[in-house]
Amino acid sequence: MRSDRYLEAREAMLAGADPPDELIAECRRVAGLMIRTAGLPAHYSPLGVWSEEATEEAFADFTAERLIGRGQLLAMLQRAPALPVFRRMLETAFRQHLIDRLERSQSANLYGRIAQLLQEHDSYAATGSGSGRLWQLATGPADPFTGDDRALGSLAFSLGEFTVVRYQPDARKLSPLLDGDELTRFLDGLLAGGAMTLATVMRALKLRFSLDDPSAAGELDPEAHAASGLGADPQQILLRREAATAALAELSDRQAEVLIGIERKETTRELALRLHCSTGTISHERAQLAQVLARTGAEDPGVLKEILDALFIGEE
Amino acid sequence: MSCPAAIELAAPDAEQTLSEHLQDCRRCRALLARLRHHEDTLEHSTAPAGPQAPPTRPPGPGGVWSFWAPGSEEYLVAAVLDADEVELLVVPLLADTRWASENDIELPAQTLGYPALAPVWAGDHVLAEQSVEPLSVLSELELEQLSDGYDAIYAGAAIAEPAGPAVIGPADPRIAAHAAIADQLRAYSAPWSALQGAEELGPVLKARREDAALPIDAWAQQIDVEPETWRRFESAQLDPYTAIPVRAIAAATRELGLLASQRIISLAHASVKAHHADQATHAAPARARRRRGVAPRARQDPDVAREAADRYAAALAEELGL
Repeated sequence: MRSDRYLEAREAMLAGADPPDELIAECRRVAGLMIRTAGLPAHYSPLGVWSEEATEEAFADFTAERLIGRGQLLAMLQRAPALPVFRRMLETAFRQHLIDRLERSQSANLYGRIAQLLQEHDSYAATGSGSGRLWQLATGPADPFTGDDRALGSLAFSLGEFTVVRYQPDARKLSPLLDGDELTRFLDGLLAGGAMTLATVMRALKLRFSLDDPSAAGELDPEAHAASGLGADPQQILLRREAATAALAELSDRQAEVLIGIERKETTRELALRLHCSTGTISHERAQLAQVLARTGAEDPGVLKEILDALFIGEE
Repeated sequence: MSCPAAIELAAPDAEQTLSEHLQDCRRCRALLARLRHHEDTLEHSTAPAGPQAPPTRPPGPGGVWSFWAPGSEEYLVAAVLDADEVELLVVPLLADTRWASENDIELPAQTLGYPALAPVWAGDHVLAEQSVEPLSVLSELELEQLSDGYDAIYAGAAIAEPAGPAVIGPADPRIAAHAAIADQLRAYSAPWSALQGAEELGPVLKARREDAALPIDAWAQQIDVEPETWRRFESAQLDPYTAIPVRAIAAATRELGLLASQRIISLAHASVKAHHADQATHAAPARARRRRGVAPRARQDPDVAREAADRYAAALAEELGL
């Protein structure tokens, strides 16, 4: 699409016209190229692999649900005075759409595991039926938990640290958020605070582990991870390279600088001074960075090293 | 600095066309070196630095407008709560509603064509010159809701119908997310903020010059003004009408990165009005004053001062292209 055609399309849509075919074609082109060039992880694909069919399906879903359904095309046009800005916003929105889809399936996966755990273990008992069914510890309090979000969040956070399982670049599928023992410990701790419906348990998980944010509960520390699971096998080297490219593409320039700062052991305050922003922003970027690394499998030390090497090329 | 889309990085001539960005961005340099595919037919274009044409009508309360800021490639969409010909009080309207809390208000999809979040806690001023284009109009009820929400935040009261649940505690990720949003939005209020702090132009320019660590003597030479004259102007002790040509003021505002605006004009107007003495007083024999050993107060005729201020402001507006 040419810039002048973009400006015409923008003006027409801001005046209330339907999106012109040329603009939708540009959106398809940007989305397709992002998949082809930026090493988008296979587990972001609706089919588990980025075939032509998967690309088409993802784009059709994105167009129907987000661009048109939620009016995001108009929102982007209002904010993008020029074609390069629009392309950048479109990429961000497409990526976010794929991530939302991924997290919805993660929630469904977790919901199924919790329901199974409650039903199959004798240590839990239930009263009532349907969506109002209350679950309790067989030897625990039967009174329903009546606290609000703040009380539920406090209870969830009072249960201490949990080992969170991340995506692995060679898994090519979703990993569970918590392993079986940790999930049981979390559930038992919650139900010790009162009987709960499944929906309340899921809400507590969301508050404690930010299900929209699979890694917010974890702290990013490149040295804190075990040795890389990816060795010198050519296939594994390729996977590592793909994961590193995917993570680099998903990072913002500021997040990349934060990663470098963490590697150099800069404090949050030092980073804020260097990047001319608040310490709160640095905390936010650290959390976002941890999510990107977790989602793309770049928490693996081998992948992380490859990312850092790429960022440091020509620097030192 | 915002990174280009992957499609831009994938252009065969990306290294040349994006060279300025690549020089400063490690992330894009690293990514460019790893791209597997190149797009052969991409036409590059650059984002404009500002609006192509000034709006045909000024924004008023209840209007939803887009706003630009120097150094920012994206427009801000915001609702106008209050407006005059110099500045506007606006509340940003964000398309990303993920970080909604008890201090945000949600606007339904009917208002803008998509659900939007109004972080009333981030309400701030922008210069009238930053308005680009009208996008929508709030209903009276929505305008009242945003205005009440803005007042509530600054009175420490609760918003009547908040968009999200209350922040749970220090670990709630929304706290840091709001800090990041505030940092991002600062670019839009910065042109207005840079022109606050005093009611005359001299002290405002002084603060800006000192922020830029520019020594006064070298600076005065750069804009072709006597250092002592400029020093007195910065200290709000001098009438610029009689001592500083408007082209020097215009050069100073440009060099200091200030947005040409009615705010600058009104500050210059205030400087002249405050210090312009009647010409007759100036004409009084200096020797006679020295002999008496008493410096008489310069006689100021308010009407004469206002006329001089009007003339100076008009000339400066023309020099700044307003």
